[in-house]
Amino acid sequence: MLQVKHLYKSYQSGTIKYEVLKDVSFEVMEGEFVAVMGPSGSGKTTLLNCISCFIPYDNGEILLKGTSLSKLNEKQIAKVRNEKLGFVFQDFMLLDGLTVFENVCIPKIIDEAPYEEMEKKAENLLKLFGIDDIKDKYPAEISGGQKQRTAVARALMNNPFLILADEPTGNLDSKSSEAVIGAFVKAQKEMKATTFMVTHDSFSASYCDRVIVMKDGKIYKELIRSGSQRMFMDRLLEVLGAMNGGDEHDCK
Amino acid sequence: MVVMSMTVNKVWEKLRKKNREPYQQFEFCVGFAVMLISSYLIMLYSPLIQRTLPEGGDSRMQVSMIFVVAAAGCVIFVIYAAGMFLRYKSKEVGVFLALGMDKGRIKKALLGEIARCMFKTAVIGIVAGSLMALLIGKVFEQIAKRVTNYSFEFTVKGITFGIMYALIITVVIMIMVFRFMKKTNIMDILNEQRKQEPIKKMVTSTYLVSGIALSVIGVFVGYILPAVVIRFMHHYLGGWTNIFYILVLIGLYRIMVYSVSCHRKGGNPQKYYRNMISYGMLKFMGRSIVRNMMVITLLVVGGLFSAFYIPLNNSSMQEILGQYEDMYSYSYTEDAKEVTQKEVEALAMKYNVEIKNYREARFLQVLGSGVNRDNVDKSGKLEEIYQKKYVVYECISASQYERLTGQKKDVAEGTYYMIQSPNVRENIFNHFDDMDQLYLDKEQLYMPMKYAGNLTYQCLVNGRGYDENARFVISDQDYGRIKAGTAQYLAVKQVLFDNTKGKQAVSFANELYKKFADQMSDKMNVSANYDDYKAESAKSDSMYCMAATYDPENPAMESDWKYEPNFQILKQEYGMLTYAVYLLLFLYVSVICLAAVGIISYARSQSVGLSSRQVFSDLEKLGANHSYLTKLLKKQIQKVYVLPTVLGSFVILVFEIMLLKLNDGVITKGEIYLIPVLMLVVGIVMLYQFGIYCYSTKKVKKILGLEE
Repeated sequence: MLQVKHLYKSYQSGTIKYEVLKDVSFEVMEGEFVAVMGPSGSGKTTLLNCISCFIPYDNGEILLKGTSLSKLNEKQIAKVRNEKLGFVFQDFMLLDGLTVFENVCIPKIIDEAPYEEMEKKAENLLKLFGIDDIKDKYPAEISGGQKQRTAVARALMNNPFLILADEPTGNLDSKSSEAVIGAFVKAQKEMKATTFMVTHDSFSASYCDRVIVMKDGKIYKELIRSGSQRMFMDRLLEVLGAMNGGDEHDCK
Repeated sequence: MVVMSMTVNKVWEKLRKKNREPYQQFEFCVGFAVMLISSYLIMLYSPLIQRTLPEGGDSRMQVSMIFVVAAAGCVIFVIYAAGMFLRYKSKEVGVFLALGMDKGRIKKALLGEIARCMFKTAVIGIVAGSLMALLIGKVFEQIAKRVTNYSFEFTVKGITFGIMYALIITVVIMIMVFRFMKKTNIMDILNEQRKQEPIKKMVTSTYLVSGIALSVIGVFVGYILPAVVIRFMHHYLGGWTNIFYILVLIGLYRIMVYSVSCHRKGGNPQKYYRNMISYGMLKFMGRSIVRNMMVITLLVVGGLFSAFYIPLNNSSMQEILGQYEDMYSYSYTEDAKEVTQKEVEALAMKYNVEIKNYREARFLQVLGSGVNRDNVDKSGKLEEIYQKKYVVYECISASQYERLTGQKKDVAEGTYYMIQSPNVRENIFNHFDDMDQLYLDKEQLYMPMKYAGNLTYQCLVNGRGYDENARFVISDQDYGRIKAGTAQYLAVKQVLFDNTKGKQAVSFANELYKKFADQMSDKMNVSANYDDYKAESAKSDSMYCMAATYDPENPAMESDWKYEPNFQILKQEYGMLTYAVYLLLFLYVSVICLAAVGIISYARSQSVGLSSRQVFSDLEKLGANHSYLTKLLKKQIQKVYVLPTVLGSFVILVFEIMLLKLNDGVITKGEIYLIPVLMLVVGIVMLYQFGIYCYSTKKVKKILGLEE
């Protein structure tokens, strides 16, 4: 579904060049739920922004179902974002002036899709994520968890190839986080959705099929889930601990 | 169904309806700017103002200069409002972009939104501006109707310029939208709302020093140097020196950057730590806050400059009125069948007024030499051309002068005294001793004359008392010689007298004025700068041979008439009216500038508070109580008000004092008394700013939940 090949990205600050991504390559399969973890500055959000075409990259290739995103013009990228990608942001990015239901409909409205199909789809998604009872409320009137589930529903409106989620539980308490991760899992199971999620939270990542751990702009390790969610979380914590411990050792 | 007919346009519409506040704020700012400027332009181009402000005169230039400041201030103000609006819109634009909407579609929709807002507010602004101009114009008309016949009227020019101003700001905002949409990086657009504008440069105390130095150099080269060079070297430096005023702006900017960004522990670490959070917060809004402070400063300067015009003019008028020795003074050529003493006394009886101290004397008109200083050469140096036959002067004998004024002066043969106002000084254009010979036309001989000094009697001074208006006291012998030796020009009779004061005295003066005007000869129907000799040699459209403008029925009307009677009682009665139009116009500009100052300060205070919301919330979590947070908030908002108001007031006070000094090289007693009045005006503006500060703080406290 998603192939990232030898990706390089750097930022220029004055005369200093910071290399953020250094030869990153990996693949995400159809229907897979993949998380990217790593310490601050490891390049995980930059990686997500490159895949989202939010920012350009220096070298390498990103293929979405075989289509190279860097070769697309602005109009084509917009179409890809609308139809083939779904986005979930850390701070929800819901439009304050629209209700929950209307926010979910936005991708279809942009697509100028027939309203009957759009309404039906939105109703179904709201039901699936347990937020149909608040569909007429405005973002200011609902909780963080409800906002993020609305954002997940919005991301799924056009049945995208891939959902890109940037720290979706970063602004939420543990109960709300669980509900949001539950929504991603539901989307995977019931809609065969493919999700690529950047997170700091081992608990959220432990629900994924695979976790890519990044460090200093490179892939440090890839962990594939086997066994229970609890066991996977322990393994994750172990790897992350070792990675941090390694840092400590290096310092010494 | 909830979204049955929902389209992208409907979504934009709903977002607009649900988020009224940013739209209202943007529309209010644009509408307010268009209203102020269009009302000003409509007023400025109405016949009432156009005909009142003399073409090419100082007042018209000052009004235009201040208008440029106000118009530029309003453009910057609108840019600021549009910037805030686009920051608000950035989230919506970012979300639409992220969800796959084509940039072109978003740009179209955004431009449509802006165009809709602009059209609506421009129309409302122009209509409101027109109403405002009409209202104020009618007030002008009522106040000034005794001094001018001109009425307030809408002109095509005024309305067109108002529309053009609205179009200019529309174009400016459209350019901003294009630039905003040009950003390729969605993350930049999404983060626009949270963007801080820190001052990146390292700011040290050299910023302050260089700021002050640049301001001083700018004022010196731009203002003082040209005046000094003209005064002592008789050389015009030309317009290039005005460029140095830019240094003043750069200097002020640097002073403000320093005030916002440079804070060190120094000798009072306690104070530094107490204010550290406030310093940090300001530094992170540095660029935009400094820009705002700069605009506020310039508008305070413009507002005060206009406001100062009122006390400055009133005071100079009062000072001049106090210099007149007699209540009535007039002169006329001897060919006129003017009002005789008997007629004056008969008129006085009619109005139950007693005439006192009636005196008459005769001035002889005689052609004499002088120095023409009307032009500058190519290098800018003032040309001084001595001419044997220059203008026609009026001369009176020492004995007649004594009879008129009570001043006894022994005037030696071949010498003369110039009759002048008190405290008058020579300037580069006018010297007391320019005349050194008089021409006796009958004998075709020149009579050498030597300047001996000045005699002061305000009632006998014509205009400014130089060149074609000059009057001299000569010896009785010379007077006799001129009388016998000239026939070219008519003699002039001078009349002076007083009367008892009272209500009837004004009616008496009005009727005497009318009689005098009705009975004057054709020779007297000439403008103030008329000169017989120059009129003979100049073209008929020259300023030296224009007919007088006056209204016999209305002595208060501004006139241009060489023989206009000088009746102090009427000047006292109508003095303020004569200046009414000027005063109101300057007051109007002042109100425009100060209103813009108030709105910009208020809007900036709001955004300072709102953009610091997160910091306040974090500090609250760290244990800061409301009183601490309120103090912090006040410090932030004070920055917007205190320095710009103080700096603007200081700059304009210094400028005005320099103006008083450089105008005639001396600061008179009256002008010294004026300084506290100017300071009082500054105080009023400061109070006004304090009021807006209190209101802004109250509003922001409410938004941040910091009310008691």
